[in-house]
Amino acid sequence: MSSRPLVLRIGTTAAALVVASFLLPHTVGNLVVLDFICVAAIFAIAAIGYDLLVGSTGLFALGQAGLMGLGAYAAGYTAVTLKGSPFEAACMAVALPLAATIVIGAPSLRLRGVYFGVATLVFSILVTSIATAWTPVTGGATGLAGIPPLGGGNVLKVNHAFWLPLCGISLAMFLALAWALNGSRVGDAWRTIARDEVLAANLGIDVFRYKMLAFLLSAAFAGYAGFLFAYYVQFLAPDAFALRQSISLLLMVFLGGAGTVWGPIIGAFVVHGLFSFIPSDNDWFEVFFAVVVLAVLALLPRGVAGLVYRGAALLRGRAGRRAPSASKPEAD
Amino acid sequence: MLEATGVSKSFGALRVLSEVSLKVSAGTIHGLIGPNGAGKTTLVNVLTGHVQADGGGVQLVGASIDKLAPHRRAQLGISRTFQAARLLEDLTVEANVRLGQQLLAKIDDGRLHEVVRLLDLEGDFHRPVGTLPAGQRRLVELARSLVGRSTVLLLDEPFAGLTSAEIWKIARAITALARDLNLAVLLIEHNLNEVFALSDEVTVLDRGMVVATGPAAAIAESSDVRRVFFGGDAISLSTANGKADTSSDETALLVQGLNAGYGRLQIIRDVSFKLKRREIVGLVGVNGAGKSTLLRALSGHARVMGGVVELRGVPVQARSGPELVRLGLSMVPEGRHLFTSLTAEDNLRLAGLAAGLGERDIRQRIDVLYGVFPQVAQLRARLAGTLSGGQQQAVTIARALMCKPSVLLLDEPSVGLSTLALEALAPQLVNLLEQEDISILLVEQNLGFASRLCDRSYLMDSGRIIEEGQANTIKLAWEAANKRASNPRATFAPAARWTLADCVPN
Repeated sequence: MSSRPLVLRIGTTAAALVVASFLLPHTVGNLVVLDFICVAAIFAIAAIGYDLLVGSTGLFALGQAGLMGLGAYAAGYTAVTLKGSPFEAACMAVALPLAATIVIGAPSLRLRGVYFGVATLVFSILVTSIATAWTPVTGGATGLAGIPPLGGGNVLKVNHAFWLPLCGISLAMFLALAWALNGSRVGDAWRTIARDEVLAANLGIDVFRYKMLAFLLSAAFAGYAGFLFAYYVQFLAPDAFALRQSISLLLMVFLGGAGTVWGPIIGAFVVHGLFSFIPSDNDWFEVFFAVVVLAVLALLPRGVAGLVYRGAALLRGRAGRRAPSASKPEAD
Repeated sequence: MLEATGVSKSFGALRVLSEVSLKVSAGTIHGLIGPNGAGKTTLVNVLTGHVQADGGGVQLVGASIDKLAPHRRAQLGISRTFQAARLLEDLTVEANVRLGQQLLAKIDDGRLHEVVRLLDLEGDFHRPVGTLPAGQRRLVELARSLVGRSTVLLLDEPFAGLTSAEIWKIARAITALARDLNLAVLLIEHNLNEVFALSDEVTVLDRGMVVATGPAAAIAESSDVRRVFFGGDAISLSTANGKADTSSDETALLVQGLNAGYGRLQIIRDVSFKLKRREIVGLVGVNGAGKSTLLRALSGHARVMGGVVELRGVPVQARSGPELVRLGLSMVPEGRHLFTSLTAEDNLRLAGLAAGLGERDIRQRIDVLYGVFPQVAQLRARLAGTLSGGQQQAVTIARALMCKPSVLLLDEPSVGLSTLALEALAPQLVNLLEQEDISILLVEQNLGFASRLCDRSYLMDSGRIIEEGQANTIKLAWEAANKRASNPRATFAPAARWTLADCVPN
């Protein structure tokens, strides 16, 4: 552990992210790169939330893209049909996934075993099906168009001087929140539950409530990411939130490093990069995708961040032999 | 402080607890003893809320806590340790101990370091728990329980498998803390001497019933305790005593210099013994002596680190579990593990399929076994879950015989069985030797049962075989080993309790 207090580390990191997001549009001229960064940052927010559930609490779920889709459609419907403000759209985008979470989680999180995972899987499929079928609200298979542009610009040209800081501030906020929670006793409780539920209960941890909290947070993160996605792309299609997108988000978490602070962000940028620069309309893409998922799970179970942390720990271990650690219990 | 009144619990047809009452007062240690299968752990699970009792109730400081979930009871101050320490393996000792302060409004570093010092864990404070030996792991778990705001401490066999130095360290800490922090401690143990030395009061549990309860000194002298633990006169197995010597000089199972364990943890050390054809040999020892691990190593379920195992002259130490079954080595696991929703016959049939027998062979084999176990033949259509403990044990043994083994490993068949059931089981085991031409290695904690059935036995302690001989030799060695383990008994005398200050090195 670094000797600097957690609050300070979170604060400096968040501030650096925000500053960088303001500088980027003025230093990088390439629109493809700027577009890539915005979308990756949006997915990173959903991935951070997903990691609270999958990485920290150890709950296997497959519904993150479904929750993000629900948030996106809630924002889109509020903006297009109800003519609501972006703020109202954001509120709806977070509220609906939260409500869905309570409906799914309240029964299934009380049970051990596969029930929760299956429930989230079914939910994910349901979101795509409803988005396809309920044409008056969602636009059906043809999609929901006409979401007004945010921060000036239009459908063809996004105002990156507005969007990069928005994504940067959002990402910094959610990263700080997840980091602080993981570093607090809430995080300790989650990790204890992930490893041994019986022990957790014996330590006085309300297993159900902490699981529910992780699930609610993951939904809030996903919903907000959905809101950003809807306004950024200005068009929603059902297959953007299909089951494959959930697996893709899961891949971001595992490739980056489940249960680590930076893992989901690294994962979001790498996976989104992988999929944006490789043509995905090829029939072999699905095979490639499957191979990547399996390879990551088999070769990098703790992800890129896990590798980095282990390397850092090794270096620190070498330094530690020279100088005694600062956080030993005081002996008298 | 904590009181259980008339607690009853059954799992299927097996009555684990009947009308158990128990009272643990603040500032005292209450010992709970009883052989394996007496219901000790189930009682702890009822107290912590992990198991719902069928009848009776539990009160904490006079208020019923029956309806509270486990985490609520923990919040009220009931803390426990586990038979196999439950720790977060990849975290350090410090991180594990800190988990015990989850519920405190503010982390109390003073208390944390005091407990860590008291339990002598400072040297390992930053080591990952996964690298610690068993004794240290127990200490970490104990420390975790003590740093919070617990008022009741349930210790589930804290001494099992530990060296006497480690036992002494833990015992010292428990005694000091019970008094200084006014804890109510329930000490569940197998080893009688530690319990009598440490406890103010002792309750003896046997087959789910309270046999005796009262001040430690009085219980220690009680004849009930001797009967429960050493078999005494409760079991008289005339058939076994007068049985003809069926064994031949051929060697069925030969073990030489066996070392085994789990991962890097070595439990079995340089074990050598021999089992002759058509012989029944006992393997006895207290809980944690390594008996079950030895069986697992022999049946391919624990890691063999060295040595030779020969099955009728064929070296088999590197074989996997399924291969060993085909080579003629079959194990009856402790706790029976029948498929409770299948009939007795279907349980046998399933074992036949698993052994790769054809439908006709299975039919024949089942009929042969029905001849050996007429009791099982009568129960063929009953669901296994509805059978009594003794009936289940007979079905389990028949199931293990489906693959026509030459060696049968029998892990604690007496656990949870009534005297009557034991008497029914014994002659069947003896008859098996001749009828099935097999050899049996009988692992037992019930010395009475083992010594009446076996011509000779081996006594295990701390992963080694320390004695071989006939019933009397083993019994003497067993009692001597138990005394050795509790060497500091005199200093444990309840009158001479430590204070917290005594335990802190200057």
